[in-house]
Amino acid sequence: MPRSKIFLFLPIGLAAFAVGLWLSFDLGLYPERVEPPTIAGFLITPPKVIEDFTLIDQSGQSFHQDRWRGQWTFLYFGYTFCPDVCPLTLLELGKLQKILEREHLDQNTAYLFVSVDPKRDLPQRLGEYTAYFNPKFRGATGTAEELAKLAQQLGIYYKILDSAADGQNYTVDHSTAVLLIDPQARLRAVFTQHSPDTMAADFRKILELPPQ
Amino acid sequence: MKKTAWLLLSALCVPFTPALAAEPGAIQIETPWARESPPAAANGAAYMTLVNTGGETDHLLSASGEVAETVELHTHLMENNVMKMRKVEAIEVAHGEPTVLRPGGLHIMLIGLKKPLVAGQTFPLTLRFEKAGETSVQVTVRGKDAAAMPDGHAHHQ
Ligand SMILES: [Cu+2]
Repeated sequence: MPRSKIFLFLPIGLAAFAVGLWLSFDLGLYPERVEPPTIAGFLITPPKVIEDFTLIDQSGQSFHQDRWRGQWTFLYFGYTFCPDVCPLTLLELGKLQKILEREHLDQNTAYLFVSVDPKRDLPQRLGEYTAYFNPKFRGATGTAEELAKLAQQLGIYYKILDSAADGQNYTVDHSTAVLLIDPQARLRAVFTQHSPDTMAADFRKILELPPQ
Repeated sequence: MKKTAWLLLSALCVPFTPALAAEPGAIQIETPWARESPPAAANGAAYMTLVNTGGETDHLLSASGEVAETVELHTHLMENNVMKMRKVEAIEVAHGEPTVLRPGGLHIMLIGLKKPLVAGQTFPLTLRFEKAGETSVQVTVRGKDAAAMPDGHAHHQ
């Protein structure tokens, strides 16, 4: 074929191919792919197994991974000296609990606030603090090592900016994600938007999935 | 004579400015508020909307008050879902665009509250602006379910 004809037919061929491709998508000719449900957060499939850890709960008791078993846990990392982001997120989680309760999806859920600031957030302080947002909320903290080990496995970042002269008035950079732990104590989802309705919708979809 | 009449007239007008807006020079301060303290919370934050009604850009340089041991100007930076709270030296208040201090953003940080903030109560803060000078505002403490933008200023975002 002479060169000039290739230049003539190539664009026509490409255009025809593009139209064909578009039609096949548009008319639904492609077989439906099997996809996990679309949730606003991130679904972790398969759920991520987490190594055992030792935290200290609000009554000063050890808190091991076993406590996560047999129920769904909404988990949030923060610190009580946080003036607005932590309270806002806990308020949203409080509303989520009310929504789930109304829909009878709340019998098997727990809510845990983990303070990454054990130097200032003593267990008792955590109890008072979390109960204010919702009576179902519990608080825990731990040694710097245990907290770091757990947070790292869960993809949670935090950094204590302990540079203040008096060593008390420091702030903590921290991930704002809410995590969902499944009844086998594995990481199942990460919510980066904290609208209670969005998290409730995501949780409903996750409950409908076949067990992993 | 005419001049005196005008002065008198403008003096009469002062009490009729809206109650919400304290006016230090060319800066209007709308709905100063704070959320009540959760138990055991040592810190708090105050929010408000600053409107520059003059022609020149102004800056909020500092805030002070008896409510807390330390009062600072802060902002929040969200990077990869990590929230970083940082002190800022000043908050710009440009003409035309209201500067909104709100949860998750710019705020007046109250470090070491002397007493918990209780819903329904108010506390004074003194704000110092570069051009408009000093002014005092009463900050209203709202309950825990106070919306992030209680004054309907969401459209400024
Ligand atoms: Cu702050």
